[in-house]
Amino acid sequence: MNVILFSIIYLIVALTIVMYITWFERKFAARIQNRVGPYYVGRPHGWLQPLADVVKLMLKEDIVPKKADKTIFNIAPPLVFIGALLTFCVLPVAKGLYISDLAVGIIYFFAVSSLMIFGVFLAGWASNSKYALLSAFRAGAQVVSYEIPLILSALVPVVLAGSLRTSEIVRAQDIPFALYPVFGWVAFIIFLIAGLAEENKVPFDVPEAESELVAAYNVEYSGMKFALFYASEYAHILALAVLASILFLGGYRGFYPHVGPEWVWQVIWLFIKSFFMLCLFLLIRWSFVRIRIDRLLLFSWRILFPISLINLFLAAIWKIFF
Amino acid sequence: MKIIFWIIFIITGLSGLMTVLTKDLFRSAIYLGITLLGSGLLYLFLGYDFIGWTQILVYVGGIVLLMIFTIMLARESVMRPLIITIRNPFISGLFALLLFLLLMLVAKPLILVPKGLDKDYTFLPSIIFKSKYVLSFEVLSVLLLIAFIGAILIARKD
Repeated sequence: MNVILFSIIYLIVALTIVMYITWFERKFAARIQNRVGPYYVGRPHGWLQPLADVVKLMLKEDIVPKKADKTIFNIAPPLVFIGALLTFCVLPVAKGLYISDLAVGIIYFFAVSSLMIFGVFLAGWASNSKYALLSAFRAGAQVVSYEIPLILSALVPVVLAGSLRTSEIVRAQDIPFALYPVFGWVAFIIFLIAGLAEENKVPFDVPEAESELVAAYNVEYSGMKFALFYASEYAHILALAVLASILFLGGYRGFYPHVGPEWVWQVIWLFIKSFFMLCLFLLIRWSFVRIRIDRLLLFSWRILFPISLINLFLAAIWKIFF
Repeated sequence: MKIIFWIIFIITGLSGLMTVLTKDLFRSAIYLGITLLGSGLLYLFLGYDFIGWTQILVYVGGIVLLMIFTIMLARESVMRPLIITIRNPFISGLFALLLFLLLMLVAKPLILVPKGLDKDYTFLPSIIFKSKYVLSFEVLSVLLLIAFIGAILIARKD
């Protein structure tokens, strides 16, 4: 019972943060481009904008295209959303504060997020629209090729900590793994690049290239179904940011005065680290241009994949001899 | 827990059946995905966490996706409904039954949990593969590699 209550609170907090990431990203992008961003709803900083967006999306009409494959069309958005939410299960926010401490946490994380791309594919197919289909094609090719460097770089902390358990990985980091000689840095950077590619974000946003493919695999979706895609995309960004800070930046560990309950400080530390990761993602996103699809795939297979493989090998050797 | 097990069991079995019976190639691939997802979840009930999640990661997220990819690229096969005529239903049924029995015979020692291990079976399959079945495992990997190279050679007719 306790676990259920805790998971509900955890997910509500996570989804609220996800809601505000959309606002934060718009403000962030606006500042980079010398604009103001959301302003009118909730003056002076437009901080009620995400709430207004949610209400708007809820009130919108739900349209199902006449020639769409209706069952698959309706299954796809919840599938993607569930995939995004389930990833939070293995992410500890403080010592002992997690939904589940699986022994195979990291593998669980990637297995569950692979359900998302399955849903994306179904959405693109079922929409019966050439733009959605092409977008799903690109998303599939991109995610399949970038998942390998992503997992290989995530395996470096796993090798160093000697466990797939997320809490164990945090516990093993007396020095954050990102500070380890060479391979820690390399793994961190590869994780950043491949994670960005997993999100289908600029510079890796060929699946949703507005100028050529209208929007993305979710062109035909409207109202709440579109909202599910949108929310799951940002939830996955949040999950990856938290995972990156757990894997490389020491998770909830940090310096704090021993005043008040310990877990509050740990949550604050994790929040700061994840926020830093998120800002890094957004900074890259808003300062580069789109790469062509074939260059994108070649970059993954010819550069990231060999480097991450060699890197993992070096990390394993380090683990054995030092 | 038991109810959830039976729900997953029935869904897995039914979608496995639908994979074979459905006429639409794309739907067949989706049903295959559901079957693999379900069997991955069934591993969890045995306590084989590692193998279960790896199955979902590799098969649902990788192999089925590539299959759908291939089906979509071969456009004609999608448009036409799939018609398969079985010439000798009796003989093929017999062979299917024999294959099933053979697989059960092979799988039986794997199902039995060796004594001396504690309750945590997470990495048990890897322990079994490393100790008792290491040779057959390696032979199978070499066979798979040969099949891959052969497939590339066949596909590449310059």
